[in-house]
Amino acid sequence: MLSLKPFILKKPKNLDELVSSLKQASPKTRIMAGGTDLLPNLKHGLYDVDEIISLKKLRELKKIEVREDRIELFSLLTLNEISCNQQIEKRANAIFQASRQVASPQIRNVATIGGNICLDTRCLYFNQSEFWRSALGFCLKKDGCSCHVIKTGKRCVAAASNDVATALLAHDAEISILSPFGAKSLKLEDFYTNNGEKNNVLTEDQMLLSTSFLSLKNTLSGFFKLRHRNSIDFSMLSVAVRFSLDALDRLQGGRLVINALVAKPKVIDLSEYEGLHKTVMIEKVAEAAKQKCHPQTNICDDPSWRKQMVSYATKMAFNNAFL
Amino acid sequence: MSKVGHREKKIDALDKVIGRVRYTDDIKLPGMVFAKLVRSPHAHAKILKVDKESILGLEGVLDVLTGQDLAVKYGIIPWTKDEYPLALDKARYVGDAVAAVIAESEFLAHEASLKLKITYEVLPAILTIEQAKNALVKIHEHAKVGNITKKVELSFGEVDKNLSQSFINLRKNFSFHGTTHAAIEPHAAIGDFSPSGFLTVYSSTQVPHYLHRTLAEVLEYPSHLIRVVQPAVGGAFGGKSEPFDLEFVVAKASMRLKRPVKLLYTREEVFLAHRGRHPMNIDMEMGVAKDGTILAIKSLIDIDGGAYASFGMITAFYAGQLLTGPVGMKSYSFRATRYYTNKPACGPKRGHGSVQPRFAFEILCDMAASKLGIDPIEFRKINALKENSTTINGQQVGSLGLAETLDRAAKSANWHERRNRMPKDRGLGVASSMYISGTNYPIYPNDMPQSSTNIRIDRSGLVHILSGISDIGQGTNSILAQLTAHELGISTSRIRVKSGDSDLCPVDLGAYSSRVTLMAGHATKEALTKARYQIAQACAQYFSHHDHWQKILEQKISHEELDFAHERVFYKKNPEVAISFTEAVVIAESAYGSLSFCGDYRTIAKGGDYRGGTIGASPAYSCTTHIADVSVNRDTGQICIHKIYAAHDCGKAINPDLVEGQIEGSTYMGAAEVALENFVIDDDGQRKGLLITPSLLDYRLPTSLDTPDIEALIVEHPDPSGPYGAKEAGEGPLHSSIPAVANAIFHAVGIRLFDLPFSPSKVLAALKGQRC
Repeated sequence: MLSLKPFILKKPKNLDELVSSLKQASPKTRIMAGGTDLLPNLKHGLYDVDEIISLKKLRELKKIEVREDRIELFSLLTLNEISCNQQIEKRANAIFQASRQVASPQIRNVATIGGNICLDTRCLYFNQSEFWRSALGFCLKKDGCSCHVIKTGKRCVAAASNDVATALLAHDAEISILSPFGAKSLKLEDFYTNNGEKNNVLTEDQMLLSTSFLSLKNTLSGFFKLRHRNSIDFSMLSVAVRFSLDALDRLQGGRLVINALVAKPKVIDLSEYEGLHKTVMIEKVAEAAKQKCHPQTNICDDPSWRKQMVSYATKMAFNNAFL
Repeated sequence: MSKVGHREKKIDALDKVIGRVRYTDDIKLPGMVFAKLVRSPHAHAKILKVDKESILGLEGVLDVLTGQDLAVKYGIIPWTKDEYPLALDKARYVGDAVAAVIAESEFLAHEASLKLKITYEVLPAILTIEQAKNALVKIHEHAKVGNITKKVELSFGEVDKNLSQSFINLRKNFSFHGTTHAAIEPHAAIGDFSPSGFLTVYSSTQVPHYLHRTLAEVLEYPSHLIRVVQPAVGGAFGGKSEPFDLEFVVAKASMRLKRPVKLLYTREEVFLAHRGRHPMNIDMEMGVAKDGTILAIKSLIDIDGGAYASFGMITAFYAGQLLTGPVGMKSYSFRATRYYTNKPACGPKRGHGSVQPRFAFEILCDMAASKLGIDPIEFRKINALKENSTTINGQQVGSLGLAETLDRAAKSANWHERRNRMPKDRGLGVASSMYISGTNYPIYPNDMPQSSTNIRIDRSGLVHILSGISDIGQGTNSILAQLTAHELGISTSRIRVKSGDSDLCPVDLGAYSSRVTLMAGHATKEALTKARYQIAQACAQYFSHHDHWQKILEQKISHEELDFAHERVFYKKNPEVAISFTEAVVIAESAYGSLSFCGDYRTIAKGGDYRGGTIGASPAYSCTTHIADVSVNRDTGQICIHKIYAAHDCGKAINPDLVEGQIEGSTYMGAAEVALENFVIDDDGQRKGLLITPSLLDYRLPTSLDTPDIEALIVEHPDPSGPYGAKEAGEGPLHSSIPAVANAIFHAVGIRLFDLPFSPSKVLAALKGQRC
């Protein structure tokens, strides 16, 4: 059986205690919400950790605030709670659909929205046991100095694989970050970087408090996850789209997000397709998306097939918006 | 009160459901310490030095074992022993166990194992069959020719002549990928050496007897001082059917430390231990007459065996020997060659050796039927072996309900109505297969019984069955209980079954080759016949000499006039003349002393009269037909298996629930191998023979959402060689599920796929080729 190395476990009971813990955090501190990603990674020896701050007791972070044109999801909401919320279903279809397709029912009962947004990048050559990685010769993301995906690569291209984040990006979400210096807001798009070793801007003394997004009438959104199994699998591709149509079904703007490619989700603004009828527009967007995406071998599947699937997945995301 | 054919709950069902059952890892012994294996990071390397001193002073580290500490070769097949518990001179795949660290805790053993210094000299690695054929490097020095484990070449009838005279001649290259068992319970073992010199090894094995023998051999320790205990096993499917490194390590370490030692594989180690389905390249040619008669089959098979022989000698035989029914042929030849490669060793996975050629054969049957314009079900009937016949390679087949399995599956699938009006891109495909119910010969030659049962009946009315069988989840303990309940006319609540304990149980050879119900069933039935006789004798005496009963009977009666049912022993002509089963036992024990009965099963020697003709010979053969209902997504290339109708001739279903469970499980496992499960080893040399799918995330078992509806259809053609007519059900119903899907894909979208797994990219490429 895989063993966990010993660590100090802190369980703050309120935000004040949390802030106090964050003040003392070091590069060897990790924050744990549901733990569904962190614990397997710890067992694989992927992080050097001596302290974990568990958010389990922070009940105030387990809520949804629904306002007239905006919805705010606090970090400790489980994906299952989101996927059972009627307001989300009605007003943010892509987020609703994405939250129902992460992993399995058991994992969604524990995994949180905060954890999904902050999910570490994944790679065939990283998410393995210490024995496996040592036999390979390690990699840029952990303990090594070469990339096995792009042989001459100097920057890690591990893939962001967080489905709900894909949908949140399509909804132009913002996030709120808590630190000992207070809370601040940031566009989710600016939260992610293109460095697979660590693909977000959080520092060790910061944590994600909540995410919010506009929920306007006449906005459509949809999500599609390409995978081999209908449960459990991480995405081979995840695509989310949010857009508006006028009375004649012509595009009035929106954005498309494609994830599970490299470290930073790909965001495509749809303004250049404004005015096109939806049938023409979807075809053009799907083809353009295919040209812009270059799947790698960082995921255990055939990248050329995944490339072929970009346009299909894009069309399916649009289709799902009309469901 | 017939219990045979009755749907009975498994005797351990409730305990399993509520978590009372104890698996090997649940056992915690006082003072127990833990072992961790140190594995080679190289696919092929000389082991120059293992520096034990590098970790012996670390916190909690108690001992380090290396190949030198267990330097006796072993192997499940006596003629191909080629393994050491810990690699002695060379590591032969990435993951080959080279040393074992024993420490006070699993964590400390793991930490120390990462620090053990081992010096290797890396050798060129052989990662494909082609490389194995051409390499100057040898993986095993003892291999007589190159890297060949075993080559089998057999021919029956005038194959080349028949091929040349065929109306249709089809020849295709097929490839079958590697897959593995993925039993949910990882391998685990505990060694417990007592101060008085007794060694107990607990293991999640499916072959306690072979483990017992091999432990004695490798440890060079008397077998009467070794006890092997098999706690509950959480699935095996062939993946635990030979001894593994961990069992020797915990035994040896416990003997050295005089403390119990436990070792539990990680999931990755389960994958590395492997012994899964062999990848095969199959060049198969079929010649067919105008009327649909199969005139000849010629099969050339290259088998990728991995680093060790395992059951590979048998695999090479089974790849050819098990193809000659239930659809027969007028002539047949095969050449099967198993090669060593520097990869985790392959072995027996459910449907050992015969699933791969069956895939090829059944697709060729479909192609031939299509070319001739014959319905594929009719094509199989034209070539069906007759019951009580001999196959072209000399195997003697008893009952064989092929035609009925075809009809039952066709009726359930509404084949004749639906096949010509399926929705777009959706199709129906059919395939059939045959499988053994145990092997006529044991793995190591001997004249002793293959299976024995002891039955002890207590004056409380408790019946205790002792048998060396391995219940690995398939329910064989429940089958023995059910047979006993049937023969003694009692409920299973009176029956306790103790199995898988070498100290307590007489030998049974293990759970492999679908042998247990037939062989242990016979042994148990023999013991029960003796029990019935003795109890009836005593009761007949009692009824004949007791005033109360004589007033009613007015005559003496014999034991033959008594029967057992409804918890009673009674006079058949007047069932009111009866005593309870417990009273009957007390009477019998009073008359004869404690009640204990033995039964044995020995196979009758039969098979082809030629060298190798005994391999594939079985007391009875099951057969199966699958019809698959499949659709293909032309945009993604993904296949959706909507439903599989699986009709299986099991002879007699002693417990229909268990038979249906086996049909469903087998069909599922086969369907899983079509597109999802794939045991991928990197073979381009860049990543050194690493297993690319070492987790249940990357090795994709179908989830419940991916599992097709399965309709299990029991067909009963009782076989005189089986107890109550029973034949196997555990492995046969896997085989034809795979080609049935392949044939359904052809029916759905008109593409023939010969190269498993049918990944979306292959399907898309074939569809694209179709358009060109």
